[in-house]
Amino acid sequence: MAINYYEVQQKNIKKTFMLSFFMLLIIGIAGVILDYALGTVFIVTGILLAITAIQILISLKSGSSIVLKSVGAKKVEENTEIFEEKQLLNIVEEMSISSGITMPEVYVMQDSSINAFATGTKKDKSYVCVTTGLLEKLNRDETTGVIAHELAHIKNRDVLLMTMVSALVGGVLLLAMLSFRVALSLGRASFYTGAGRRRSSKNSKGEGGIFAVIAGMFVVAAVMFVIGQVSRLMTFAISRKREYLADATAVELTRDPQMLSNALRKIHDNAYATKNSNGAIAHLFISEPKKIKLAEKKNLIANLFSTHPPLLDRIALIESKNKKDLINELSQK
Amino acid sequence: MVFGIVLIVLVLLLVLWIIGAYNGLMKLKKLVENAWAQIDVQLHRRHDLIPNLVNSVKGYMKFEQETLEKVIEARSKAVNPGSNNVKDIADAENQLTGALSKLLVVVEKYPDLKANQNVRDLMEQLTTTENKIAYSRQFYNDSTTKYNTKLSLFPTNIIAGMFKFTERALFEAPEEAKKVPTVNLEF
Repeated sequence: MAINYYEVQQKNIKKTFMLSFFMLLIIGIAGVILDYALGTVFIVTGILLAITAIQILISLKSGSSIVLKSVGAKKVEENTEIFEEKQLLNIVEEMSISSGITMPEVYVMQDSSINAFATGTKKDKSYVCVTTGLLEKLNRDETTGVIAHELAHIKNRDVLLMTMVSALVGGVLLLAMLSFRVALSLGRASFYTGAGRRRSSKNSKGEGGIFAVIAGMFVVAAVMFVIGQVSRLMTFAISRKREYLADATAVELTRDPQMLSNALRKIHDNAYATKNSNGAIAHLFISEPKKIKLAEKKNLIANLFSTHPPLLDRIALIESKNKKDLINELSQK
Repeated sequence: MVFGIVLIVLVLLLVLWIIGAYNGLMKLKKLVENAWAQIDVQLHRRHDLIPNLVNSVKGYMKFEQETLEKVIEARSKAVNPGSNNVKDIADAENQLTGALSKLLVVVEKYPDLKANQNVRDLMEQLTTTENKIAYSRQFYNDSTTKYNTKLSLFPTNIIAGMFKFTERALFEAPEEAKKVPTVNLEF
């Protein structure tokens, strides 16, 4: 399948809007239900939407710098004396020419694993970060393959899509937690006051109302939790598709499939976990930063919860090989 | 009266269309020129790098004088291609690319040469320049194809003739660089 990149980018932007709209709708409906249950008008809805909006704005505006700070990345300056860093800058510039995006800022993070990630939601201001392990262990061609994959994410607007989706999923899960907590504390409060009241009078009309509110809150919490988890699974599925597409784009950018597939083979052989990463940014890396071994299992559950397709599947696809032949080939080494 | 108004509207529309078509062509022409400037920067950089590289490897490579001489010869041809014609420049530069890639292969055979910090830096600069030439050539050819197509389509070709827009030549790549691999994705 030949790929029309303009179409891919437009589709991604469209998907971002649709998913965001869908999630905002869910959050809005939850707000209205809670408003109704609490007998307020638009207060809860307003607060929820405001929180979500702020969360999205923060992750779009300063997401990149937060991510770079959280992994302890250091910027590579133009006049660096280290040969590997000079080479890295050259490679990033070559790939920016090839992909037609503005040259991203380049960062290096201290970690012995082979990994890299890209961030930045705009085409003219983006960031690429690689581990020191990558600089040590990959040669020029392999590094080019990895950088091409990362710039493909920026070019295809994957970072925008994934940032929005993660922010919204986070919002929904936060909402589930909040309504659960509120329901719990309301329940406790009404248990004590209700118990006190029962002794003094036999009127239980008010109690019924409160119990309905609490039950409503629990239902909202449960529904939000389920929706949150389902959307998390959806996020993983989307992320895996973006990885395959970024691999294909990388091959087109470098014009040599071996560059990326050799890099992935080395990553497969050096399967350490990247220490300085957390779940929130896993989808940005070139290979799953945690549980690399888990991703290789034939376990359906493990596959459902990973941001990346299994490395072997990716290598087989890039080299147009049968996965079984590839496994045989690797086990003979 | 009515006839006059219709005439004025028609003339206005025609003028607007001419302006639009002219601007469209001009934009593409600027894009092509910009793309060419990008290649030019890299080509010049390559010309400047070669004397340095040749001087630093000369001492190590007594038995490869022929490879070195070919590079020097190809460089002097590339610096003075004889005309400003894209085709002549491309031919000279492609010969230089060929000579350089042979040199790069030869250098791989000399471990102490590769270990030299200065040579290593120069080789890296040369490699990145070679790659940048290849990638910016792609960009130039893409934009030039777009420009040439627009130039030859009716009715834009009338405007092109009126304002003397002329076709640009492609920067033909050396044979081995032409293949583009693809990955088969089945979603």
